[in-house]
Parts: sequence; structure tokens; C-alpha cells
Amino acid sequence: MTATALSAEGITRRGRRGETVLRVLRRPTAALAAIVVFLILAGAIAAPLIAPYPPSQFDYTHLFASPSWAHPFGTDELGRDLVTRVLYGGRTSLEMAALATLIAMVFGSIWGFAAAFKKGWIGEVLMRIADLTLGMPVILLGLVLVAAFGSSIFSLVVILGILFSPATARLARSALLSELESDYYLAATSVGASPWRIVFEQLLPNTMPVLLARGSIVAADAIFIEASLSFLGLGVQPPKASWGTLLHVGYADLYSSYWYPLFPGLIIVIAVLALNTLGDNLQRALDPSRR
Amino acid sequence: MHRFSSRLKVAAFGVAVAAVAAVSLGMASSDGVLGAANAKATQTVACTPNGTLRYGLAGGGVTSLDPSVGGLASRTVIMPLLFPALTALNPDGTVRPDLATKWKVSPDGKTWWFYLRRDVKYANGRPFTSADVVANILHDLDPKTGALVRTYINDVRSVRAITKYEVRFKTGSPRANLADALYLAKMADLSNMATLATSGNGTGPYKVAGYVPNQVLTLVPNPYYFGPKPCLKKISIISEPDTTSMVTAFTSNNLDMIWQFPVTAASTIQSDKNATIIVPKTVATAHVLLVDTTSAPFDNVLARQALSYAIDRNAMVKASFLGHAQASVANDPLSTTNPAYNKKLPAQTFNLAKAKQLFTQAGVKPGTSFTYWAQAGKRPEWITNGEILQQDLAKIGITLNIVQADPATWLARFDPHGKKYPGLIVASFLSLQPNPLLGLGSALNGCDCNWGNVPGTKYDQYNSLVLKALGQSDPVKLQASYDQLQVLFNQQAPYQVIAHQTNLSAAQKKVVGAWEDPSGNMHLESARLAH
Amino acid sequence: MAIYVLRRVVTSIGLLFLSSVLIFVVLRLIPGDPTITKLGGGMTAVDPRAFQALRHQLGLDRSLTHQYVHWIGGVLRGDFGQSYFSQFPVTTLIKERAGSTLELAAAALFIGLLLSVPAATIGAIWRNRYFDAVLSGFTAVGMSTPAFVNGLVLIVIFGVKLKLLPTQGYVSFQNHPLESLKTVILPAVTLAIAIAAPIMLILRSSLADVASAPYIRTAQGKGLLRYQVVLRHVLPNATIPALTMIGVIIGSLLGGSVIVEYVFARPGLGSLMVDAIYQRDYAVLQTLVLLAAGVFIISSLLIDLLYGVLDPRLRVRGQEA
Repeated sequence: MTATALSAEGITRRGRRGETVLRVLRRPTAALAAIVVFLILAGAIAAPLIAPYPPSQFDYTHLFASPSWAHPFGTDELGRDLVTRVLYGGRTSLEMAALATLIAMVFGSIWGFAAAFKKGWIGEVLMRIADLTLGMPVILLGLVLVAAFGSSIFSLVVILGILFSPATARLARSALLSELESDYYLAATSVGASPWRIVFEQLLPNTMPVLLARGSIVAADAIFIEASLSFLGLGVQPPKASWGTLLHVGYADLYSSYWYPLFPGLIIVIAVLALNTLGDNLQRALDPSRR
Repeated sequence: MHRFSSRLKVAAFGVAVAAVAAVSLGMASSDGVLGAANAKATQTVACTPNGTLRYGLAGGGVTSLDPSVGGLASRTVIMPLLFPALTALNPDGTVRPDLATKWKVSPDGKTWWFYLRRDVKYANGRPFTSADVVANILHDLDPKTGALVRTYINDVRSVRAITKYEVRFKTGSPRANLADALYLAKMADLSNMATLATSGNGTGPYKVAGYVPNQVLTLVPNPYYFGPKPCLKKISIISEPDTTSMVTAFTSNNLDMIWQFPVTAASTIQSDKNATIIVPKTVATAHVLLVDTTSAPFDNVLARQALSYAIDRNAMVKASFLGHAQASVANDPLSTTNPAYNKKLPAQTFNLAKAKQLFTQAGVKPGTSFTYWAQAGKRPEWITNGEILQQDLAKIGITLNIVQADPATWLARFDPHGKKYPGLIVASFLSLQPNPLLGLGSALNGCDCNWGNVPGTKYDQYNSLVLKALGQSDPVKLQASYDQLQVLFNQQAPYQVIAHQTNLSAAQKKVVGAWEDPSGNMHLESARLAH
Repeated sequence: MAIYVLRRVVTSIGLLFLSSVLIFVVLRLIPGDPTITKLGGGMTAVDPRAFQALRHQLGLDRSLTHQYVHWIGGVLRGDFGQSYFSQFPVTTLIKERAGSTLELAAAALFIGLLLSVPAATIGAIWRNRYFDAVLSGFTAVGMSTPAFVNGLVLIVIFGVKLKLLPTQGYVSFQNHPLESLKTVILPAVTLAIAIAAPIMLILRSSLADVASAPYIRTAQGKGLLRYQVVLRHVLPNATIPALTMIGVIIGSLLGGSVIVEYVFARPGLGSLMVDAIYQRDYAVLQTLVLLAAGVFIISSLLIDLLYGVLDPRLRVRGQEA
């Protein structure tokens, strides 16, 4: 095959994937999930514009208020409106999830690709380490890492990113391996195409979609684990709040107000569900081995 | 998770100088026999052991049965049940004879004799004699043991068994009330050091029947106990992972008593017809803020005063404690309800302008940032306090970063005593002794605020005042000392008192005879189930 | 074949060793010190000599290498040390708690398999779009709800409102089978929901994979009914790839049990680990993490070997590599 033919084939494959994505979105569950994700993102980004109250407005006369017209989700321990807190909390949660996903994707991909290329015992060891960390309960790893590095937003993001890289590494490695074993690749190398060309025109474009679809699931996990860490009291620090810390404080104050943890909890479930569904559908469409 | 109690006990300091003993007893300079006089104990009514009491704790169970070491407040409940001392605490903060029947002091206050009961046996049948007292006291006095009671009896120079049932103490300086300090020196069985932490062998009304560290401790009546038979067939000390599950267990009848539940559950428990909330007669426990007085900027007394003016105590009582606390009026370790409280102290009202002025004088310019250091997972009130302080300090240009750390990290940052922690404001809870002298003495070595190490502070003056008062038995002179000490504390502010609050505890209505002492500890020695 | 086995065993031993070093070092890097946690909670001035004496007693004043060698030496002899706090031997602590965790894990696995295997199999046989959709829905919700939320909901419904079942505690099965079942049901169901979802996912995808293989079409061509095809050919072949995920399942069980034991105040290895982390009880933590790593490594080794036995293709590939 000539070099031109290589790129033509690559482009066609990419084009086909674009079509697949659109086709996926025509399925009702996927479309619904996409809409929910979009709404949540929009709400978080537009929080300063649509929040009914300033986020740091204390009101000592209305502590732990039940839902009312003035405060649809009620108020918290300092009288702050919970709708506002949930919106701003969403900003923090989603921001952290996005950054953690980015770190997990980049780091995990490099890890997985390295393991795929170095087929010898290095690759094996890298993968075994990944398997080992997968076997460790994430919560405990999280606890230890937070104890070591503190719970500033920066360290939490890095910690979450590290926690999710092993799974991504596995995926990256298997994606790359299937490319490396394809006739396409063997042909390209036998023809003598330059390695960089192969990487940029074949390997990366063909592994990216799978990884990106996975990203949605990682984001869901990030929100989930961040909520769990916050539940144990190790999340972001006040006055910033995330859905997880709202859930945590609400749970501690459960007897003052049943409503307090309900809404953050609900929105965590909805967000994680939507991201998982979306990612799941995308993965099934884009990853041929999962069909 | 957070399995580690944050309650920090200043119980060690001189402890026993119980208010009543010091103020009212004309113990004076004579060598009267005092022990019998203050025997207004809560004597247990003799009964046949009956029923099980399930007692719940949150955030830290029992990790060791060695009574002298370790400050986990959750263990205090088992002390009177397993390990009596020479004297025992009454609900009003006075002491009564326990293992000792009477005691006397020499005219110069430096020699004390304690006379022991002759019928005391350990739970394994071994007789208790003066040799055990000597062994325990020496063990507690040994700096390598790390016993908390040491701070209260470190002026004891010698302890000797005169006869099998008589012990003599000699102190370095005159001591008006040694008996009151000795209730903290629990008498363990030191004949087998290897099992000290695991056996729980003591002379108390109950003995250990089962023990899973950090989980459950089961106690049953001790057949060899010298006093009236205890009224419960079994006590289970159960640790819960967090306060919410503890309250849930209580309201769903899985627990009969709970200790230290959060204020946010107070209204639920108050409206529960089957539950009573237990409160002590007086409150000697306080929520405080600690700072390092040996490093900048809080080595400057003006900065400490500034901080006090920046604390909106009333807002904190309203928001964090939901009104279930008394705001400190003049930044005083003693609460306003304490008879020894100095009513002439200038109030420290919430005044941000004044705070800013004082901070600037101390060299703390707008743009400075401090860290508010709290424990994760426990005491949500501290976080709420922190957020209020954060907003208030922001108004005068100071940034407060709130950081919650897991308990071990939290403690290690400013403990042990002497560690520097510049720029940190630590949220904490001090359990002070009901005795005013002890409460005031907490500023010396009971607050991890390193006050003693800075020359030029009034520490030395404070310290010598306390030492003198320890030997003082004249109530009028004693009150004068208290007043002076409070004035000094108010001026120097070695730590900040936010509010006095008890440890909220609750029991099902069928539980009778349990009481909480002013330091916030629960006493189950006379507890029983009514029918 | 022999080379394959040898390679895997050697790698496993190496990994175990690596894990032990890693745990050891990481623990000592985390801020917080067991001696401070043990002596310092009282906030009174404890003499520095007490800290020194305790550090010496616990061996924490020796060099890192010395401490590691001492520990590993003990481990190889079967002596796992004592808890720094309760001074109970670590093996005793683990034995006390293991029963509860094993009961919980077994019950959760049983319920989880009970939920997922029939559902996935029926889905493969019936091939009904609506059933598949509902199944996907349940799986998705199961994976999206954190275990503590599930647990709390169950506690509130069955424990507080209906007062049917105990919301916490543990009774060992040997002591009192009926009580034991009552205390384990709610936590087991909570944990089962958490693991049923990934099991279902794996099973469904591997069932789908196998179902599209040529030999299945052959079986169908032979005239077998769909359910016979599924039960006789698809399911057995689908379980083999699912076995490789056993490691992940075990990990989920252990991790999930931490949260579930916490929510239901149930003593177990999970809460032992959490307590040890909070107290910085190195002795207990090192042994627990080593145990967890060991279980994981050995089980994946066994699975790999089993896989090698069952799937001849792997043996060949192992020789080639």
C-alpha cells in the first residue's frame, strides 16, 4: 500500500466513526443521557448567572429550613440557599471530574501504550502493576493518598487522576495491541512507512475514540469517588463545596434536615448515571471488540 | 473513618483540686482528718445485677485497657467501672473516699497519709495493698510512661508503703488538696506489664468479659468488688462509625445510651418520648481556638487579642451550636456559671474594627493568610465556626484557609507540646476540670499553645500564681488568686475560648442512675435499668 | 507450559515482594505518627521522654531498612507483630474480624450472582429489546448509586421505619445462625447491588461475544433450541473470560465492604483497615494490605493458570512469547 492509500484508509475509518456517533445519539437512552449531561454542564457553567442567591450569604434566622418557595431545596447550617450551593457545588465537582479525567486519560494512555509497545517483561510488569492497583479498594488508596498529599483541589484532582489511570492503561494497551496486530499495521510497516506517520495517521486516530468514550465513564467514576472521599470528610475545603461535601455535611446533619443530603445525593446519582450511559453507548458504538 | 476522638483533656492538671474542697472546706492548715468529711458520695444502692446496658460512642472506640496512658476521651466511661482510685469524683466535682477510707495532711502541707480499705481485691482475686498504690504512682510519675495524671501530681517527691494499708506521699511544695488530684491516678494491676493494655484487671464494680478493640467492650459484675453489688448484669460499650449512625441506633432502640451526640440531633432526641438528655450540674468544657504563642504572629499578645475581637461568639453559638452553648463573654476558661468567675472582667465583644487595629499594631497587615486547622469528619460545628470566622476576617483583609485533616495528621501538626505551628489557628475542644484552679491551669501545659516557652510573657507570673494557689487553703485568698489569674488570662489570651458547651448525652427512660461530670465524662457506676 | 507457569509464579512472587516494600515505605511517608496518636490525644504536656520510650519500644527509632528487615523476617516466620494500640497480635485481630467480612462477602457474592447470572442468561436466551433495556437500566442505576446511599436507604426503610431488621452489629453464623442471617441481610444486599452490576455487565458482553462466534451458529444449525444453545455452549464459554475479572470482583468486594461495614457499623476487615489508617497503626496496616495484595495476586495467578489449562491457545502463545 502506498502512503496515500494509508491516509485514505485512515480518513475513511475516521469518517465512519463520526457517523456512528450520530447514529448512537438517535437511540433514546443515549440521547436522553446526552441531554442530561448537557443540562448539568450548562447549569454548572452558568451558576453565577442563574443562582438565586449569592453563594456566601449567611442567614442565621433560617438555619436548616425545609424546602419552600423561597428556598426550593431548603437551607444549610449557615442559612445558605441549597439550590445555590448545589449549582456552585456542581461547578467544583465537574471541574474536578474533568481535570481528573484528563490526567487519567493522558497518564493512563501513556502507561498503556508503553506497555503495548514494550511487549517483553517490562510491559508485563506495567500491566501487573495496573492489575494490582485495580484490585486495591479505591477508597483506601484514596484515603492514604489524601493523608499524604492533603485535600486541596489540586492534590485531589491529581489523586483522582492517578486512581483512574490503571483502568485506562488497560484499555489503552488493548486498543493499541489490536491495532498493532491488524493486517493494516503489518502492511504499513512492511512497506516501510515512517513510524511517526503510522502513529499519527493510524494508531492514534484509531485508538482515540475508544479512549474518549471511556472518558465519559471515568468522569462518572471521578464524581463518584470524590463523593465517597468527601463522605469520609476528605473532600474540598470550605467555603468551596462539591456535591460530595454537601452530601457529607447533610448526612452529618441528617437529624436536623432530611432534605439537606437528599438533593445533592440525587444529583450525584443522576449525573453519574447520565455520564455512564452516555459513555457506555459511545463505547459500544466505537469499540468494535465490544459489539 | 474518623475513629479518633478529638476531645482533648486537660483533666491532668492538678485535677482534683475540686471547687468545693478548696473553697468551702476549712481544711486550713491543721492536720484534720478530711476524708470522711466529704463522703457525700453517690453510693450505689445494693441490688441484684439485672439487664444489659448498650452504651454507644462515635468516632473512636476503646483501643487499650491501660488506664494511665493515652488521651482518647471515649475511654473515660470505663475508668470508674474498672479502675477505682484512692478517691472518686462526685457529680458536683468534689471527691469522696474510694480505695482510701481517709487521709490526713501535715501542717506544712507537704506530707500526706492515705489509709486503704482492707477488703479490696482485683478481678482475678489478687488482694490490693499499699504496694500496688506505690507501684501505680511510681509508674504514673515516670516520664517514660506518658501518663496524663503526671501533670497533676508531678510535685510528688516520694511515695512509700508504710504498712500494708497505709501510704505516705511527700510533695515538693505545699499542697492543699492532694486527694482531689488522686482520683485521676487509676489503680491498675501492674504485676503483669505485658497484659496491661489487654487484660483490664482492676478493682472496680465491673470486670472485662469480652473485648474487641475499637469495636465492643463487654463488662460484667466483678465478684470480688468491695462495694455494693452493681446493678447491671452486662454493659456493652459499642463504638459506632459516626454520630449519625449512633443517633440512628439510639432512635431505633439498638442502643440504650449515647454519648457526645451532635447538636443537630438535639431536637430529634428532645422530642423522643422515650429518651432523656443527660446534662452535668455545671459545665467545664469549652470549644477553643489554639494558636502557637512561640512563633509569629501570635507570639505578639496584640495579635492574640485581635483574634479574640474577631470572633463573633454569639453568631457561632446561634449557628454552630444552635443555642446549646454559652458564649464566652470575657475569653475566660471558667464559664460564667462557675462560682469562681471574675465578674469584673472586661468583656471582649465582637469588634472587627478593633481587631483590625490590633492586628495592624501587631504587624499583621491586610493580605496575610492564616490556616484554620480542623479535624475531618468530626465536630461539624468547628467547620461552621471556621466559615463564620473566615467571612469576618475577610472583611478586614485577612484570608483564612480552612483545612480539614484526618485525625492523625491533625494532631501531629501541633502535638506534642512544644511543636511550632506558625500561622495556624487550631479548632479544638478542652475538657477542663470543675475546679477553677485546674481550669485556669490549663493555660500552662494543657493547651498545646506553647505559652511557657516565650520569655517576656506573663507566663512566669501566671505559673507562680498557680503554684502558690495549689498550697492555699484560705477560701478568700484563693478567690483572690483566681481573680488575678483570670485577669491575666483575659489580657494574655494564650488560647481563645469560643463557648462553653457540655457533651450532649442521652439515655432511654428506663436507664436510671447515670450522670455526667462537669468535665463531660459519663459515669455508669450507679446505673441500672428501671422497670 | 512449564515455562508459562514458572514465569507467572516468579512474577507473582516479585509483585508480592514489591507490594510489601511499597506498603512499608508509603505508610511511613504519610504525615501522622502512631506514637503521637497514642500518647498525645490528651492535649496535656506529655514528657518527650515518653514519646522516645514508645518509639524505641515499637522499633520506630531504627533505620527504615532495619525496620523492614525485622518485619519481613517476622512475616516469613509467621509472626505479624502486634497492634501498636491494643497490643493484640495482628493475627488475632484479623481472625476476629475475618469471619464477619467473609460472611458478608460470601452472602453478597451469592446474592449478586443470584441476581446477575439468571438475568444475563435470560437476556441472552430471550433477546427481547425491552428486557434488555430494563436490565441495562438496572445495571446502570446500580453502578451509579454509591454504596452508602443504598445502605442508608435500606437502613431507613427496614431498620427505622419498619423496624424489621437490625441496622448494625454482627452475630457469627456459628453462634446463632438465625440472628447472623438477620444482621447480614441488609449489608449483603447493599454490597450485592454494588457488585451485581459489573458482574452483569461483564457477563452480558461476554455472552454476546460468544453468541456471535461461528461455532455457536453451528450448534444452532444442528437444530438445538436457543435455550439449549445458551446453556450448553454459550454460558460455559462465556464464563471463562469472566473469570479473568474475578480479581476486579474481589477488589470491589473488599472495597465495597469497607463502606458497607462502615455504614452498618459491622466489625470486619474493612473497618479494621480504616481504623488502622486513622490511627496510623503500621503493624496492622502492613499486614492487612499485604494480605489483600497476596490474596489478589495469588487468586489472579490461579485464574491465569486455570485459564491456561482450559484454553489451549494461551499455552501455545505463552511458549511463543
